[in-house]
Amino acid sequence: MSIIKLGKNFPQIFRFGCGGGCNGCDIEVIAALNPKYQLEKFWIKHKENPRYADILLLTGSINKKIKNDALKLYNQTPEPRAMVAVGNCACTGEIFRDAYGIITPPDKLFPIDAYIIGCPPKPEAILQGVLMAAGKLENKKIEAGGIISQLKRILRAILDYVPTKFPKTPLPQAPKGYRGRMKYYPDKCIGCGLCVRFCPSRTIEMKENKKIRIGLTNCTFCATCEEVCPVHAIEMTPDYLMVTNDRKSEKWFVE
Amino acid sequence: MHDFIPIGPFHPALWEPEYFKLYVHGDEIVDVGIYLGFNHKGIEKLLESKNWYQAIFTSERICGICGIVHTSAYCQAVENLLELEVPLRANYIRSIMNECERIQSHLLWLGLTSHQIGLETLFMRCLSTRELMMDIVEIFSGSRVHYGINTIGGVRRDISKEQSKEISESMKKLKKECEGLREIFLSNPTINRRFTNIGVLKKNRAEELSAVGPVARASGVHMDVREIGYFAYPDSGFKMITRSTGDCMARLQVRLDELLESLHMIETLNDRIPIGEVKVPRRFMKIEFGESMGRVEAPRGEVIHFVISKGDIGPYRVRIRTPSYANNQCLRDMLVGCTITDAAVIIESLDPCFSCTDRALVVDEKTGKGKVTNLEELVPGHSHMDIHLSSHHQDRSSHEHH
Repeated sequence: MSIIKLGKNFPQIFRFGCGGGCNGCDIEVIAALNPKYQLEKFWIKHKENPRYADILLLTGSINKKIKNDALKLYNQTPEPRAMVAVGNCACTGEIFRDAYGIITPPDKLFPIDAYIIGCPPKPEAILQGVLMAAGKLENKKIEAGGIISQLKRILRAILDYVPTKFPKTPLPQAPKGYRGRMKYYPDKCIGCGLCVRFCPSRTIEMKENKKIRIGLTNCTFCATCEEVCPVHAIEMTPDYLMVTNDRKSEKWFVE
Repeated sequence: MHDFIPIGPFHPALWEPEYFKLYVHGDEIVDVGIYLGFNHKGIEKLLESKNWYQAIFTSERICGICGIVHTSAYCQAVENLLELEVPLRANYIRSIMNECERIQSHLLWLGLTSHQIGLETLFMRCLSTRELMMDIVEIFSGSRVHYGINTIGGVRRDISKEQSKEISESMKKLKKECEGLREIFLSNPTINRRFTNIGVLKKNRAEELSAVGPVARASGVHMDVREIGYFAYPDSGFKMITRSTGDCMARLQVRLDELLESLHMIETLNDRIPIGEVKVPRRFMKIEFGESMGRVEAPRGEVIHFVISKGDIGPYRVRIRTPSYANNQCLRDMLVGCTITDAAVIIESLDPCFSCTDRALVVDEKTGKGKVTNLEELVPGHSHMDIHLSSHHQDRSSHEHH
């Protein structure tokens, strides 16, 4: 997404770590601010006060103790706001979803606009997720303004139109051996069920036809399934960019 | 009763949600209440429902900054239980990865500390130096945060010759950068004034409160698990770094020196790494009755995993003692007598990692309110049984009553 598409509103983000995770995603959000990734090059600023924030980054799922404080903080942010779930814990609760103290899924409590799948996601993926939420925030602002705002938007798009194209920089590739989205070869699979037994977050299901189904939103990307498979039917690929607004879509299941 | 200033649960000075009550008299802090439990995940209970191999990756998710330390301690405990001898090369790789983690953790801490006192440029410089480390780790382990390198009886990935070369090359680059950072940190007048003679923890108090890691070492306590010599540390030329003043400056100096020491250790280990197997070619499903312990030095101090097996496919009980939990007790000694402006610096100087801290807490589900209990309340009539646990609880309840 280019700067023009974001309009003239420069959104501000607030990191909102909610306890029910390992804080790995918090670190990656901070890493996304560093000179290598530079979230600020998209004119998005990191704020340390929720009252100035437009985009909230939720990291980790929510436990019972922090629930009320989290809701209070959410209500302190001005409307319209967008929320990004960074990492699988914020999407579904991942490995902690069976734990007694965790409220899952977090989108039961707040509406979430963009989900970034990964454990933890790479900073590049976080940038993409934040940009997706920024686009949604822009739409929300126009919707809140009514017809006049929409007309203004069209006018502005015509007046501000710049006929030059920004050079599209390709996304940097993850190194060979990176544990990203996995590939599954059903022809090779013999249905032994070892991966189902060894998966630490129990996200692999055995279907009726003795083939497996891996839910990526619950996955820890630890590559145990790849390691235990006797026939190499599962293979990890360096594909790390998994950003979506619908976490229940069939796209996030590997079959 | 004094006025109090709340810090948290969500506060810019805090990395993660946690709640401190600073009781003040004017500008001076008189007392501190520490309220933990905002990061409670119930991981010890969760570990009981997993099998031996699933538990490795579950224990890795105790903490995002020091994930490999927890897997190392857990695997060490299980290997002790099995009386299994780990291949020598695997031990070297484990040590290298542990040191890599220490470097990135300390660099992150340096960045956050400079952010805390308003030096934004230094914050960015620390983070970009840290990226050099993260790149090596990513190439080698396949992830930036959770390395997933340990398994029972060895490591899952081997270091190839090219990677070994790459490590030694980037270590040289990192060394240059880190020496530059060290010079900036030690010569900057702002840092000097805000850190010296602030948040002093005396040696006898550090020993009494069982402080661990750089906090204890900055107060002059000689303790480092690496000196006992697990993994390949006896061969790494490890030297313990201590300071005697016990203030924030001493903690900064200890971490800066440890950074360079770790770089040196990685270089030595990388040169001396033997050729051979990296993993025991067996998978252990059921493990016989017994109990054992794993001790590893994390970037923040000592991590202990205590594992009990009852002959099942998974652990019967895992007890985890994390460094930040022990260090949090020292906060009261450090903060009392200081001004509010220094509170953020002092809290940060502990390098608190709350996500691995929060273990036991009673929460009323209906109101969402937590309360601090002592052991007698939980297990009536058994207060004399577990002295270690009850002493922790007494500390916490005494904080509450002040």
